[in-house]
Amino acid sequence: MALIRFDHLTKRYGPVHAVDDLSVSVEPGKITGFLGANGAGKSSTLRMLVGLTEPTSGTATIDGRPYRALPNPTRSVGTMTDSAVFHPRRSGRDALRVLGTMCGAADRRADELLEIVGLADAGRRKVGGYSTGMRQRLGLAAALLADPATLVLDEPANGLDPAGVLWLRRLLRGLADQGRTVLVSSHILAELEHTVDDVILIDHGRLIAHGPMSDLLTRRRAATLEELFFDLIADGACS
Amino acid sequence: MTAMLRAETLKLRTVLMPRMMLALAVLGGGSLTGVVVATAHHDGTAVTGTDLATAAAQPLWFLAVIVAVLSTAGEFQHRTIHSTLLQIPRRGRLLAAKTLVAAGYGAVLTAAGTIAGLTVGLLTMRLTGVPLPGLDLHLLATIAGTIVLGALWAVLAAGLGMLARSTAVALVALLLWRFVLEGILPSLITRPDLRPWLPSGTADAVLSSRADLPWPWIAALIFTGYAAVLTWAGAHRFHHWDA
Repeated sequence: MALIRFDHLTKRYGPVHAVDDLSVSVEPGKITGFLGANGAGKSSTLRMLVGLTEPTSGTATIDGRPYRALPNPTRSVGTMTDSAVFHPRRSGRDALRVLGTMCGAADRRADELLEIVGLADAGRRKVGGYSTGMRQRLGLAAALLADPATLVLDEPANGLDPAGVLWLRRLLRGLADQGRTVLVSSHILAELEHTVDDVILIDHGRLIAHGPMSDLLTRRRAATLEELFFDLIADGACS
Repeated sequence: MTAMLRAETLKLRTVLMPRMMLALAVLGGGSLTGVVVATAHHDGTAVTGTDLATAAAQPLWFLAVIVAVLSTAGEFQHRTIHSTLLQIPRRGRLLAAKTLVAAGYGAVLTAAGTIAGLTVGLLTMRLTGVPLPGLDLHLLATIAGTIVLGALWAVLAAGLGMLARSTAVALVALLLWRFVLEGILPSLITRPDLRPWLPSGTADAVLSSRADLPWPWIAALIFTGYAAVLTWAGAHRFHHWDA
């Protein structure tokens, strides 16, 4: 199974360091939470990982190769960047069929995934009529289309109702238990507290902590992930 | 590449606009040519096969342009470019697939509208008792030229869409260029003979046999050059774009 590695990854937009010398690895078979406040650099990091954005310096690789060098990238890495990436006048099913055609997934895989993400009844409706939560589910279906060994999900719980968040937790746990690498970003720390095994915490583009969540909580004597995060920011710590 | 071409074609087939434009091309091509024949009959002027084949050419090209702009600029407008790039991170190949499918769509739309126009035109002539034009090489070349220009206009528009990344900006720019700049630019620089060498001037010259215009094949080459330049500019901007 795949190992994600960021090596001195840096992204600058003019004078702003969106991501600053980030070096960390993500292990397979676990759910890794990629956490930080809004604007901390999470999305920029994930976009560099999947080749949507060029790093200023450093590398982001999956099993030692940049995303763009993977032969059929979505067969290796399933990505969800945000939920608003579907044509509003195309049906959910057709949106998946289009993506499936590019990666070699059959039409029946689109139907299977609509069932898995709970959109079987809405599959023939136009995406423009979907709620935010439904679009999130469609985004997850798109990420799972080619049955990848690695999942990179940017804020997947946005817009999901409590039942949806619970469903997402179970889905991600099931995928990690199959040995897949699952990297999930979020700015709502409490949301992922019951989901993740490892955490990577960043602030202002810099790594402030990483490791198994239980170890970090114990080491910093924090009761919650939120407490740990604010404690680390106050210290400017890096562990 | 085959998968990319199939996916780009499926994109066009799974939204309403390209199908609507195709239907409009058939209806519009037929109606316009019918009107041209009826008007000529009323005025007592002769109608040639070339008149029938080119009567609806410009509106047909415009329909192809709209869909081609939507196929590239629309990806940015609806942000579907993100999911497309995740599937196909090699941008050059993606752009090549988009350009080929836009060209194919432009050719199919223009062919459908031209065939509808020829059919309605010939039927109208027969019903009004006007002698039908013969099918000769010149007519066949005109039909082929009209269709190839439909494909080239679509390529040019796809490049412009990729450059502008906004359907509104791309279409307004194209309309301004076609109806304002090409009209006033030759006068502004006091070179009225320049017009046939500008993009739509060369496209018109391809189908014309007037002695004062560039030879059709030279005009076709120049128009291909305009399409290539816009495609290159769109590709260059796309290649350096952070999604």
